[in-house]
Amino acid sequence: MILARHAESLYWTGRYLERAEVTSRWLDVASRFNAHVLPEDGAAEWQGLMRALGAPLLGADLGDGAFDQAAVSTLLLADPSTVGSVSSAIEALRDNLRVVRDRVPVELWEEVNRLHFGLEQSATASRQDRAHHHFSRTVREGCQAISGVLSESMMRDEGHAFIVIGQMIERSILTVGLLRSALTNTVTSFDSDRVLRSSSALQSYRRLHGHRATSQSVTSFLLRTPELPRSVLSCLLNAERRLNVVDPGSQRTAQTRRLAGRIRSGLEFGDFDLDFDDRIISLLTDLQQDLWRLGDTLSSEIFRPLGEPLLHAQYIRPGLER
Amino acid sequence: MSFLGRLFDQYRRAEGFDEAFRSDGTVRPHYEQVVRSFEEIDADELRRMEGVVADEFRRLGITFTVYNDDEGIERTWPIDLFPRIIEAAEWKTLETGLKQRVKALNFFLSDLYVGEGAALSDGVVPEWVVKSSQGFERNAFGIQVPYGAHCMIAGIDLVRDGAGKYAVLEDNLRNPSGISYVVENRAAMVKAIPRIFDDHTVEPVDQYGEMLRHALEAVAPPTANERPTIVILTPGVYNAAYFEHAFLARSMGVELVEGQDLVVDDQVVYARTIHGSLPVDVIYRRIDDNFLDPVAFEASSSLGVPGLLGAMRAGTVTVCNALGNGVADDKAVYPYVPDMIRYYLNEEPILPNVETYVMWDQDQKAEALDRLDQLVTKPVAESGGYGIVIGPHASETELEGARKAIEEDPRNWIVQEVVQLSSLACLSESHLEPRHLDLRPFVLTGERTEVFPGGLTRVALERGSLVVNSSQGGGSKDTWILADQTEVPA
Repeated sequence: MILARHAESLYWTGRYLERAEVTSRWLDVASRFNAHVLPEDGAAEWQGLMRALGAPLLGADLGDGAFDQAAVSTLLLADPSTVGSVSSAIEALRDNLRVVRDRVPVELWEEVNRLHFGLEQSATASRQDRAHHHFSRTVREGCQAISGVLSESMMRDEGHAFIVIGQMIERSILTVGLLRSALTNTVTSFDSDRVLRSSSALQSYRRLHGHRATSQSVTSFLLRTPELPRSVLSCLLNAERRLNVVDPGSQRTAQTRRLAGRIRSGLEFGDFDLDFDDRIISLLTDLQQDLWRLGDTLSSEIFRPLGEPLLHAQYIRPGLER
Repeated sequence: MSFLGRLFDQYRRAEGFDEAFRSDGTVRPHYEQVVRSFEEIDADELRRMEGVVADEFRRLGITFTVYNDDEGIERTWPIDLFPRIIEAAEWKTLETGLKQRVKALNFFLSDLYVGEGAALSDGVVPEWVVKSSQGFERNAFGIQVPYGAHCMIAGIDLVRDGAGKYAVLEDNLRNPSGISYVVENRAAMVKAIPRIFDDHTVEPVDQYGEMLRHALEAVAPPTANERPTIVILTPGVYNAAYFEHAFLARSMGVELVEGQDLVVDDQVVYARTIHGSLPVDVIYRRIDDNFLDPVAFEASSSLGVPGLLGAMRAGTVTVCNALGNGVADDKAVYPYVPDMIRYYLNEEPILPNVETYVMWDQDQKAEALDRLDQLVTKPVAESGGYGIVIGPHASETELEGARKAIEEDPRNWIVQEVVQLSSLACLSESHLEPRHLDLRPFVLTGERTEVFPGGLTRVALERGSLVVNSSQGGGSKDTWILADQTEVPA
């Protein structure tokens, strides 16, 4: 038995875990690449990163400074009030996990707490160095420890499945966002190394295809390689497998499964190469929207089937016939 | 044996009974080995061990919330590393006395809510005291509880007087908390100073989840199947005892639900799961009576479950602890508990009450008011140490306030003799100093009544202070019950 509310918290635990890790990786990669572009181009690059993450650009208090590595780092890493920052993701991860701390391995809660307390120190160290290296490393090590516990200590039950589904949906959304942002970059041309590195896929790509990389081949690689754990196709296959754990008879997740299956087969069998340059942006836009909808469908089908307002509306007077 | 070690250098016995040291300064035999171990430790080392435990507790999120001006502050659970030790024979007596007391209290609750109210008509407890109690709950009438286990989980607060004699200070029959800290204290001690366990056989405390689950399964309603569905009902993550609620759910392997997760349909309680609504058989609730069901009680409460009372009446669900237990741990009813034991069990109480004056008896009131500066004045309906006036430590204004309050509403106050709580060594700054302490053992009732070995030892923060509540800054100690060695040949 798993409560719908718990399932939802576990799902968001997975999403925030993925988000924290990916955001910090992207920042590292961006720092590395942006160090080699002109300052004015750098600002645009940083803005692109913020957009890919869905972080709000307006209302962000940057003081006088423009978008540079220090400003973005401050915003995206250590500031828990910035939506989309690593800190906010880790706080949200902890808040969600706290709700279900009784049903996850103790070590998992312990690792999340360790990360939570470690961030404060790393933020100070990073501020002193004016570099976010400490902070990113703490985050990445923390996330890896958490993933390790998840993989080695947690029973492969429904609870585990929901965490993984959350991770997979978040990962695929972010990967598509990364591709879109790179393909629509008006400052520099498509930088395949950077995109691949941001997805931890550079080495894998080189082993398979060597150094020949085009926007088309990299896009296809990141979308459709079933063996690559960060590819969108791989994420969807994984999510579908976990849905099977959650609801083997497909009785309560019919819509979610239909949608997941449709997106997945679109990737498997769709013709992405046809008029690639003209169609790819709209394809990615559609894909991203479909992925968002997948999360919403899951939510309305499983987590909140009755809808929030009905929660406490079912008053039954003791002793009265209905 | 005398104590010469550095940590004990400045040890001066406090007033009252010292758990470890006799008045001539020698060590009581069951403390000898621990005292010896601590003599080999210096203050820095002990501090470092405390740091290890504090880090561990912080990382594991073993905390409690203190409310100050409506602001909740999350504190790491405080533990002092010098253990409290109780010998097997001594514990046996306590165990028997605790069982006796809880059995009588359960008989009383059954008698009152589902029986004839014989204790009232026979004048064991004055009817008006019972019916004017805040904890008295008319809605509880007629709700059957399997095995009469109205109080399935009781926490009985024990203190020791100047001669070391145990007495019951308070019964907690509604939602006694603290058991999780008993278990975590032990785990922390084993990590921080494993070597002090070497020379002892200490009763383990890991089995609480199993014991509790067993008791909860026993009280499942007849409608339940072989493996009843048990849930713990928590007010949510912001509750002071949320850590404990999560701990209990984990150690029993049951779901931790909030009111919003449960729904009542046709007098059956269901949990809202990903597979739809599944029926629930037993609810171990950690919310107060008043918030259980917004239809029957506090209408604005969103913590409870609408229709829950109806389901309880229909007998499709067992709610633990049962409704209306507050009447039996009302401090105004407390003075009558020894008589309950005589009445229901036909036995003499093994554990006495602390001598108590009731303010609705003119003679007792006159005597108490006369000596108020030597006595403790307690409001009957408060817990957590709030509102208590300790005569010898109180100012004239406070005493005057207490006198006035008693005159205004005698039902609302009891007055007790000061119990010079026993004390035990605690680390303070760089050496060990005596601190007063009490003991809260936990008593479980399902098919039968059992006492969990040990309990929560709470210690006062300041030297001389008699206030041990964690909400008032008190700490805690690991409590060892030494295993009975009589059957083990040396």
